[in-house]
Amino acid sequence: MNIFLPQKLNFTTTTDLSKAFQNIKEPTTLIFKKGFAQPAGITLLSLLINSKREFITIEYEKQEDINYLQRTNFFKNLDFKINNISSQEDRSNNLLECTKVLTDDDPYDIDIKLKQILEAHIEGKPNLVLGILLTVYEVVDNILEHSTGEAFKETDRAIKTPAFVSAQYYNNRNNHIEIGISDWGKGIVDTLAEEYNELSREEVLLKAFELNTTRHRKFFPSRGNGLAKLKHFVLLSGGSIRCRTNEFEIIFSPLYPNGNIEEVEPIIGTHFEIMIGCYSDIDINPIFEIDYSDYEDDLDDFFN
Amino acid sequence: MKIEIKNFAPLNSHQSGIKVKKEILKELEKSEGLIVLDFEGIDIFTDSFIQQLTVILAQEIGFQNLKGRVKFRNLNDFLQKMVKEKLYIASGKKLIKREKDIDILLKRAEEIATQKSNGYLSMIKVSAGWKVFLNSPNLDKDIKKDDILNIPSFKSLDEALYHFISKPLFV
Repeated sequence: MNIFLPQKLNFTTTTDLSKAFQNIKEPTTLIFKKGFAQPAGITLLSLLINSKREFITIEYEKQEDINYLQRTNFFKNLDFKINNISSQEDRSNNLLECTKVLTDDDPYDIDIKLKQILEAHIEGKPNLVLGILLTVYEVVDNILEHSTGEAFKETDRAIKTPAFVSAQYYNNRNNHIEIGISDWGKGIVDTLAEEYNELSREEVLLKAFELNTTRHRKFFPSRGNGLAKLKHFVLLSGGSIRCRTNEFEIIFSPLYPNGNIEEVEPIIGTHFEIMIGCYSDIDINPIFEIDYSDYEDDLDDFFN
Repeated sequence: MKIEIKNFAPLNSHQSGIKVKKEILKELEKSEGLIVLDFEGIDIFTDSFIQQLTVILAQEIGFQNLKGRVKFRNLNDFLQKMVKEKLYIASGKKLIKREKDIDILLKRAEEIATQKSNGYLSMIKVSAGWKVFLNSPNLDKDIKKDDILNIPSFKSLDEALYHFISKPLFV
């Protein structure tokens, strides 16, 4: 069987491929053509191929058909042996190569590389840089926390099937950074549904992006603010979040600040496409500030 | 006793927070002195990391004990705000947001107008809904009716502001 990959490999075209991958039960050849690949397409395709790796071989006509994907470590991550491996010099300082996340140590490399990209491109916008780093920290932490759906672990975490993270800074008229993050876990709705059994599945998904949402409500009462804060930050940057999980796709964007949910073909795992506008700095303090005026003096004691 | 937090980096999970918390608990048992958490060299950590050193630690040893024994040093302004938020929750107070979303959106729209149009910003409500755009049309002379019609309209002001933030249009 052959699967012809779309020349534009992005969140939409790759999610459309997910059903074809789920049906793979025999040797299958993926055929690559030169085109344009975006982070969310790369991370999701990595995950899909990884899930059926034993059946899959790849085919391409010319080196240029796979150059870009090769630079993102796409083939290396999936153990495909390819000649003419790109040299380090080819690597762009716009690109966070596709990176596997399996353990608590893995985000460290992501942090270092992402900081380099942001420092190279987003000078003089310290709050924006902080917000982007926090966004990625939070989502990657969520992957490690929720991928297995197991009980909370105090010790270092490890997941069986890798998640993938990739990012690219686009220095065009609407300069922005796109971050793609895909995991092979239970999905947001299935993870939270038991804890919030009074809500419909759509409401559970919306709830995941609100403050104080956690599957450990009794254990950690103030836990689960990460996604809510990152949503707020991304919208204030003029950006958007698309998330495909279980049987839904949810979008937060300037047109849908309160979220728009569509029922779609069910998918394994959770897949994010996060676009963050980089055209100006953002005051991120209001996202975190609270009214502690009646207690301020006492709290200051902690810092003296 | 000083604990150098940078030795536990990256500070991006409950698990890394738990490692620091265990160190604090060990020191609290060993002596009766102050434990200083030194954040020198740290420019970022997650909500989950800092919860372990504030909300969860206070649940385990009591808020007053935490206040009397643990100090946070060398935090940058932003991180100090995050710690304060968590300490506020740790003290048993309910979190109340100071600003409503609309206030934050207005502030952001003003920032954009300052950068792009000398601070001139217009918000109008017409029959089709709310419109937000850069500049202030001179109502006596040159009302650019067609330009204003071309600005998209939204049912609510916050939707119009979100759209403006992503795509600030001039009239």
